[in-house]
Amino acid sequence: MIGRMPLMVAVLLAAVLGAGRAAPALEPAPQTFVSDRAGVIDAATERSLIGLLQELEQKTGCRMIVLTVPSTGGQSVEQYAFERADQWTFGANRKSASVLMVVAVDDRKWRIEVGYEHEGILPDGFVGGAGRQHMVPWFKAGDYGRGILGAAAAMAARVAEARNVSLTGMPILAEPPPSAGRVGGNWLCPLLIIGVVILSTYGRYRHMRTGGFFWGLMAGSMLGGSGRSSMGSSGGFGGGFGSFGGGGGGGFGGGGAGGSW
Amino acid sequence: MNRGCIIGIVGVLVVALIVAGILVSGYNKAVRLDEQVSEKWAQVENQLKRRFDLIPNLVTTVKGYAAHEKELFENVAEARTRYFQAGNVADKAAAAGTVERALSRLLMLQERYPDLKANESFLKLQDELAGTENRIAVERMRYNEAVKAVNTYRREFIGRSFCSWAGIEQAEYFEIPEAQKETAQEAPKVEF
Repeated sequence: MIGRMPLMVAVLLAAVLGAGRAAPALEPAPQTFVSDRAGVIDAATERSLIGLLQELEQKTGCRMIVLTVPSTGGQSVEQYAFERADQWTFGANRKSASVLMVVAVDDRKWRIEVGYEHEGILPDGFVGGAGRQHMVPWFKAGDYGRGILGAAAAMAARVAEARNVSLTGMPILAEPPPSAGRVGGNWLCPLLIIGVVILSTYGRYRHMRTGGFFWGLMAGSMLGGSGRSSMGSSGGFGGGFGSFGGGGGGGFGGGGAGGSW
Repeated sequence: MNRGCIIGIVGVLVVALIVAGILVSGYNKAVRLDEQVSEKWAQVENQLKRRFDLIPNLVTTVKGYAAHEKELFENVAEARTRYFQAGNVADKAAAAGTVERALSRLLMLQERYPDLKANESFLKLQDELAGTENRIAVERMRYNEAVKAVNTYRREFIGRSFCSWAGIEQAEYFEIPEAQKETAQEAPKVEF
């Protein structure tokens, strides 16, 4: 219709000039499952974690993103996590995360933000419990990687159970260090930790369909030494996850749980 | 009829169509913005209801450890009733603030009763409550955005005519009155 053109221009102008929320400018979204900006996760655990999260997304479509930062810089960790969960999109299909785990190391605060889609599977109480059971004891002992891995594994197991799939890359978790009052088996922990590392690496090498050769290389170099190596580019998002609701979908409403240690 | 006449008629028709288009879209925009406000408010009420639904559970759990803190339980119950009695948005916002304060005092009991603090069901309930507070804050933010859109359109030069034509009234922001703002240790702070 002839009348539409000036109308559209007017509408566009109104939209541009009209009241709209100015989204706070955030740093760009990381393009990996695990962003260890605080540098607290050791390389081996990071590999296990990435493998787990990749498999989780492949099999269930749940995209769990881990972010560690030194501090949220004055913002509450809830607001910090919510803003990023709400606005970030990852990967080629520009899909947002399903779950965002944020650990602010210097602030000693953690927060797990759960999107609408998974609020039923990961209720706040469960998420809080996972954090208290896994993250808090390990964080208190200074081992952030294991704490995050434990909580992620607990949530991944729950999601997998809800979707009726099984995750082969599930790490066998060591017992968290004993809290005050419990008798600890201190000689057992290091053994279990070594067991976790070896088993998860072996599991990775056998079961990973994508990048199996890559993991084989890593197994060799990892057994040689456990220094921190920057492996930021491993575990990126491929385009092969399109079958699970690629593009859009989800969104965040403020669900999840958090705490401090 | 000569050519000039026809051109004149066509010109008038075109102008009429443009004007009609503007009128329709303006009116529709007013209606749409108003609907969004209602929708977002429904979301806010959803989350507030969720919080109120959690309260009885919480009270039961706390009673198991601190049975003689009767006054606090009564405060919470009373605040809850006041919310359901409130009529408009402003009253509901005020009542919600009262509930928040009563709740946070109830939650602070855990400092005096360490057994309660260690109880996992209590902790999980706290997670649910904190999660609900978070959700309320998020929905409040989205509601206030919708209110801002409508109120702004209502004050705009041409928008105001459309709004009064469609019968759209000024919407109220969901603000918690200053007097009620208290630092609640347990409720998470999400300020937008």
